[in-house]
Amino acid sequence: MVEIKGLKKRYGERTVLDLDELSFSDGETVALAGANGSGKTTLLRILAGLIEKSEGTAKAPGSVLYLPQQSYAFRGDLVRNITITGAGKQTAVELLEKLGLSHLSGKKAKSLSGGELQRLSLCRVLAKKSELLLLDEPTSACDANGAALVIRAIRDYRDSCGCTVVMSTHSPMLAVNAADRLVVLENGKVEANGTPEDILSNPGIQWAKTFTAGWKI
Amino acid sequence: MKKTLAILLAAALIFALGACASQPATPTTEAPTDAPVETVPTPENPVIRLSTTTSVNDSGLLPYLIPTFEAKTGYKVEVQSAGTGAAIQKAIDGNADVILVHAKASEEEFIEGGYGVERLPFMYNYFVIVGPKDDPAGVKDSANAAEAFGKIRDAEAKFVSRGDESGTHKAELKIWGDNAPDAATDEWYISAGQGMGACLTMASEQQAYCLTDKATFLSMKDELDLDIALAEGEDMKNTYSLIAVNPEAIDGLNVEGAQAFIDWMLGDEASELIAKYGVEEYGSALFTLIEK
Amino acid sequence: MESFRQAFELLFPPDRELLQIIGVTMRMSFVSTLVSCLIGLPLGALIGSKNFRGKSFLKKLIHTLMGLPPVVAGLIVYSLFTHYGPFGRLDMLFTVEIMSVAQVLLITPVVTGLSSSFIETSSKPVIETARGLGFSGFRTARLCINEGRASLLSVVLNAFGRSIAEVGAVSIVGGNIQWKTRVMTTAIMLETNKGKFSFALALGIILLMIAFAVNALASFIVRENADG
Repeated sequence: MVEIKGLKKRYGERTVLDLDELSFSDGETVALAGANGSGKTTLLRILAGLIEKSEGTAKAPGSVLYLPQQSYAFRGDLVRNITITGAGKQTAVELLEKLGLSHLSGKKAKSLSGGELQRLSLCRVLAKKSELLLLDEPTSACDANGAALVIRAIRDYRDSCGCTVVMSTHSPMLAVNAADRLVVLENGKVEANGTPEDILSNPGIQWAKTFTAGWKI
Repeated sequence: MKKTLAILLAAALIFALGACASQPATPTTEAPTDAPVETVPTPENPVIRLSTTTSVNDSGLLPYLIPTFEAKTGYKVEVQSAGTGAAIQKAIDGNADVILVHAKASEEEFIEGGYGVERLPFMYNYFVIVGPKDDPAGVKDSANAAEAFGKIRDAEAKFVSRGDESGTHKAELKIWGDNAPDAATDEWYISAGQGMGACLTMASEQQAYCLTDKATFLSMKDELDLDIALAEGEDMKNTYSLIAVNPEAIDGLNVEGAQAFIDWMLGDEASELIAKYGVEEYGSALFTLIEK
Repeated sequence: MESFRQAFELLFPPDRELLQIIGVTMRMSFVSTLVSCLIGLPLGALIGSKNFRGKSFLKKLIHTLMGLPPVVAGLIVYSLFTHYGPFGRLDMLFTVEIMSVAQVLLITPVVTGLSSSFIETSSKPVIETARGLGFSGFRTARLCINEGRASLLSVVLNAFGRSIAEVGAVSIVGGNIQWKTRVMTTAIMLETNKGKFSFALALGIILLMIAFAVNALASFIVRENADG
C-alpha cells in the first residue's frame, strides 16, 4: 500500500512534483506515463528513498526494490550479477531462463547488448522479495520480444508475492498488457488516472493524443 | 638520445633555480660604468657561451663583471652554471665556447683530451673551513686544513661534504688524502651531493663543519648559524682558470668571442674590477689576482 | 646505448649503493602513497558522493593544490621543520620520513581530486543500482570500490608515479645525503651535475624499469583478484 498526500519536490525555484492525493493498493500494478520531465522518475526515486521530498507525505512499505532506468552490469558473469543480491544459484538460473538469457549465463555481463542488460537488471531485482517494486522504464531498451518477456516476468513476480508494482513507461504496449491502472503525469501533476484502455481511448488526454498522433511525423 | 639529454638538462636547470631560490643577493658592489663614448662594435657572432661552476656563479663575480664586458664589446655572454664535472662535460659535448673552473686535475685532463686550448690560471682565493660557532672539534688553531680535518675526524664531529665531484669536493678529498672518511660507515660524514649553497644550509641546520669557498660563504653568512673556523692554510688555495674550447676538437664554436672574453678577463680593466670585488661589502677582496 | 650498457652493469650484479638508493626510494614512495590514499580516498569519496555548501570552492582548491609546484611544497615543509622552525624540535629535517611528509603534501590533493571525480562520474550508476537493491551504505561503498578498482588503481599508481619521479621537494627537505636520503631522482640530478650524463641516463632507465615493474605487479594483483 502506497499513500501519497500533498507531496512536493522542488529543485531551487522549480517544482517538479506536486501531487495532491494518490494511492496504490497491494497487488496492484500501476503504470506511470507522461512526457519527459513530467515527474515520473522523481516520484519513483522518492518512493525508493533515494531522494528527499520537499514536503507532504509518501507512505511506502518497508521493503522496496528500485530498478533505475540506466542499467548497470557488475563485474563477472550473468549468474554472479544475480547472486550478488544474496539469491541462490538456482533462482538465478530460473530467472535467466524466464527472461530468455540462459544461453548467455556464463558470459561477462559487461559484454551484453543494451536490451539484454536491461533484462538482466530486471532479473537482479526480481531475485529479491519485496512489498513494493519500482521500475523506471523497464522495457526502454527492449525489442518487442524482449518486452513481452519482461511483462510476463513482472506479472508472475506480482502474482507470487502480492506486492505493489509501480513502473514508469513511454510504451502503451507495456501499459495495456502489464498494468491494472495508468496514471498520466504532466508537469508534476496527475493529468489522468484510470484503466489503460479508458485513458488511451480518451482523446481529451494530452499524453494519449500525442501518442496516437505520434505515429506519423 | 639528444632529446632526453635536453630534457635532463632542462630539469637540472629547474633544480638549480630551486636550489638557489633561498640564497641572498650577491654583493652589491657597483661595477663602475664609465659610459663609453665610442660606439659599441657589433660582432658577427655576438653570443659567447660560458660554462662555469655554481660556486663561481654564486659568488656574484660574473654578474658584476659581465655587464661591463658586454657594454664594451657588444658581445652577449650566456652563463651556464653547474658542478665542475658538468661544466666541463658541457664543453666536451660542444655546448660551450669557454669555461671558467677551479679543479686543476680535471682541467689538465680536459686539455690532454684535446678539448681545451690552454689553461690560463688568473686568480685565486682560499677555501675556508666553516663550522658551529663554539667550534666543538677545536680546529681554530690548526696549522692547515689537513690538521683541522684530522681533529674533526678524531672528534667525529659532523661534516658536510659536497660529494658531487665538484672542484670544492675534489679539493676536500685532496685534503683528506688517505684518511678520507667513508660515508657508508662514518655516520658523522654527510655526503650531500648538492651545490655549495645547499650544503652550507645543511651544515647550518645540522651544526656541522663544511669546506667552502669564501665568497659563497660570505654571501650567505647572514642566513647561516656558522662561523669561519679556519681560513688560509697553505693547502686551501683555490685557483681559478679560464680555458677556451679547442676549435680543432669541437665545431660550431664562437672562437673570436671566446678569445675576446679571455683577453678582456686577463686585461687591466677586469683585473682592477676583480681586485675591488667584495672590498666594500666584506672589508677585503674575495679574489686575488695571479701576478702575470 | 652506452646508458643501457651501464644500466645493465649496475644491475648484474646489483651495485650495493644502487640497492640502498632503490630501497630508500621505494620506502619513501610506498609510505607517502599509502598515507595519501588513507587521507585522500575517503575524502575524495565524500566530496564525490555528497552535496554540501562550499563544495565547488573545495574542488577548486583541490585542483589548485594538484598543481602545487614540488619546490614550493619542499620549501613549506623545510620552513616548518628547519632548526628554528615550529617543528624544529622533532629534528626530522634530512630524513626519509620528512621526504615522505613533503610527498604526502604533494600527492594527497592528487588522490583526493582524481578519486572524487571518479566517484562522481563512474560510481553514480553503481550507487543507484545498489541502493535500488536495498543494499546498506557500507555494502554499496564496498561494491563501488570493487567495481571501480581499475580506476582506483590508476589513481593510486598515479600518486605513486608522482612520488617516485619527484625531485624538487625531496632534494630540499631530504638533502640528497649519500647512504641516507638519496633517492633515484636526486642521484640522477647529482650525476647530471657531475657531467656524467650517460650514467645519469642509465639511472633514469633503471627508475623507469622500477616504475614499470610496480605498475605491472599492481595490475597483475588486481586482475588476479577480479571477480572475487
